[in-house]
This record gives sequence, structure tokens and C-alpha cells, in this order.
Amino acid sequence: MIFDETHRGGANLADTNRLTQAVEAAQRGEAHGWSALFERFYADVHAYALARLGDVTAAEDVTQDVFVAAVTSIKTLRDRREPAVQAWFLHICRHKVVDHIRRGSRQRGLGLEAQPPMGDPGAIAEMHLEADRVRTAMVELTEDQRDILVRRFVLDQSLEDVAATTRRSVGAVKSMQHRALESLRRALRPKRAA
Amino acid sequence: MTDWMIDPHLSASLDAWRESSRRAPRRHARERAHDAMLDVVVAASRRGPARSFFSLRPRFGHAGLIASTATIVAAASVAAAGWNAPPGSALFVVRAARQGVMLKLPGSNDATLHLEFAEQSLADARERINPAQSLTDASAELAAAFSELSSDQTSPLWARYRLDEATLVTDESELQTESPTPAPTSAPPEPTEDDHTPAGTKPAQGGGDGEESAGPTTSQGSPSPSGGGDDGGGGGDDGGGSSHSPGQSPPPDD
Repeated sequence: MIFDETHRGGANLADTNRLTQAVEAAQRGEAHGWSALFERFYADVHAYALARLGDVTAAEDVTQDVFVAAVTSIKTLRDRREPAVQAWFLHICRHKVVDHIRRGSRQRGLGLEAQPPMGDPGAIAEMHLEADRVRTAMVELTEDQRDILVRRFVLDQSLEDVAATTRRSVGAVKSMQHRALESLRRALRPKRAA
Repeated sequence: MTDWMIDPHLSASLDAWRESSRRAPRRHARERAHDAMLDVVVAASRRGPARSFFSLRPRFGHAGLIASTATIVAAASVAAAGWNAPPGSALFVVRAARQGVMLKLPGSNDATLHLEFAEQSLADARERINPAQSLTDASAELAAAFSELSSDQTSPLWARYRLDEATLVTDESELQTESPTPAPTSAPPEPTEDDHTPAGTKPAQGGGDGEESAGPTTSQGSPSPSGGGDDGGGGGDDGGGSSHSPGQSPPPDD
């Protein structure tokens, strides 16, 4: 599983070499390099898009757009370490998400039909409703705050990883996260009260 | 993964958001995205390496290349033809522009450049290329050079200036002799002993009444490059020294 902590944090030398080779192959335009990158980062990109958009179909479309766009811009990727490559894909994804929202093509709905319910259907529906309220409340946040919350609470990135990939200090990320959570809490409160 | 210090309600909301967003992507969507990506990879590899500016639009690439090359060749031809175009020709503007640019270049020695331009005009006059206009240009350049020359009259540029001035005077005299009409830079109709400066070329006025000249004056009794001794070395009745200004023509012989 892509979100497995041991998989994420324990990128050993062999994994690093494989990723570097995959990036180099992709930069040479070799399909196997792209397939390796796709296998490694598709879930991350999809999760990021889904966390922001809340619609499965839209998230799938955006994720596809990200990998198509990546083909044309892989030459600009210099740092081939995993955090940098992941940050590069997420950076493209962030822009694609913003483009998608600006186009106004966001479709309301939770995309419950996208996957068969695993467990209590009522509990799952409640979870999706709550998630949708969070996404709605995030409209009150800035784009940077939304980006940090997705990285921290959906992709489980550490403060250090977020700081490194967004080119901020750890303190700045912490501060931004604190303000984002505070804004989110205020935005959610009246809805709960209602 | 939420911080234990976060408000419990907010923490629950974030957990729901996280779980909702971590749903596994659908298989067919994943395969579709993979195929779309590989299609672009294959298309990019068929196109080959990054194209240059002119090959961005292959259909118009050749036309753009030809038009650009023709423009560059035409501009270079005009510049080459007009580099030393004679005065009066249509391309003289190129030469004038070239001289203007040379003068504006940082670090250029304006006195030297004006002397060079004057010498070119004198050479044109010698070759009978619009001699009247060439001598006018030479006179103007010498006047400009005069204003740029240093006060140190032992400088080699001063010797060069005096030689060019003498050449100008000689050429103007010859032109006057050949043509009944006066040359554009000929001396005033009735010069006096005290005022030898021609009209239009008076960067400095020699003083009468014993005043020091602000301009390049030849010392009294010294050989004058322009006067050739015809003016007797100055020494008018008013006691002032003779003054020579750039472009000065000798007084007509009585």
C-alpha cells in the first residue's frame, strides 16, 4: 500500500536507485521508466486530487492529466530523489486541481458509486458527508494552506518533508498549518452547530 | 494521522476527510491514465528531440527561415554599402548613423573620431565625390574635433588637427579656384585681419584687444597650419594676437 509508513519512510538504497533509473529512463522517453513512475506515484497523485476535489471521476481525470503533462516536462526534473519526484508530481497536480476548479467543472457529489461500500454503508456515507464538509470549509483557506493540509493529513508527510518540498522552513510550515487548522475549525463550527 | 492537540471534532473531521480521499482508484481509470500517458510518451519519442524555433511550425518553418535569412542579408548589404557612402548618396544616412553610433559608444575618443571623420570627408573631396559637401562635412567635423581636443597643444591630436585644417583650407582654395561659385565653407566675403573665423565654424573666438583666445590659437609669429604664413602671423593694429579657429580659411589674397 502506497501509504504504508514503512514503505514511505524506508526507501532504501535499492529503491532510491530504482527510482533514479526510472526517472532517467523516463527522461530518455522510455516507456518502462514511465510505467515505473506511474506505479509509484499514481496513488499519491490520485489521493491529492481526490482530497481537494472530492469527486472520484474528476480526481481520476485530473490524475490522468497530471501524468500526461509530466511527460512533456520531465526534462526539467533535476533532483531524482523520491521526495523531490513526489513533490514534482504533486506540484503538477496542484496546478491541475486549481485549473479544474477554475474551469468550474467540479461536479458536486461524493462519488459513492465509484467503489462498492466495504463495511457499514451508513458509516461510510457519514464519513463521506463529513469529508465533503471539510472540503467545503476549506474554501475559506488559502491555496497554500489547503496544499499543506493535504500533504500533512492525507498524504501523511512529515513537517520536514513538507518544508523541504515546499521550500519553507519547518517553523513556517508549522505556523501555516496552525493557522489553517484554526480557520478550518472556525469554518466547520457553525455547520456543526446548525 | 492527526495531532492529539487538535480539537476532537476537527480531528474526527480530518480523519473522515483522509479516509474518504484515500480510496483506491478504480482499475479502469488507472489503466486509462496509464495508456494515455504512454501514448504521449510514444508520440513524443516519434517527434524526436526538442524542436528549434523554426521547426515549431514545420509547415511555415522554411518560409520563416528564408524570410529571416533574406532580411538579415538585406540589412547586412545595406550596412556594407552604406558604411562609407559618399555624401549626397542615398546611403549616406547609413554612414552618418554609423558615425553617430561610434561617437556614442562608451570609451570612445570623440576628438580622434571626429578627426577620422573629417579625414574621410577630405579624402572624399580629393576623389571629387561631391567635393563641396565633403568639405562642408570636413569643416563641421574639424569644428567638433576642436571642441573635444584637450588644452594640451603638444598633444599629437593637435598636430593632426592642424594638418587636417591645412588640408581643408587648401582644398577649399582649390575648389574656389575651379568653381566660380563659393564653396560652402569659404571664408566670409570681407574678412578682416582680426577676424579670420569663417561663418558657421566658430567653436572659439580669438580675442581682439589683447585678450587671450579661448580657442586653439597659434602663437604669434609661429607658423600657422592654416594660414601658411599668408596672414603674416597676425599682429594687427589693435595689438591683438592672430586667432585661428577650426575650419578657418585663409583670407583671400588682396
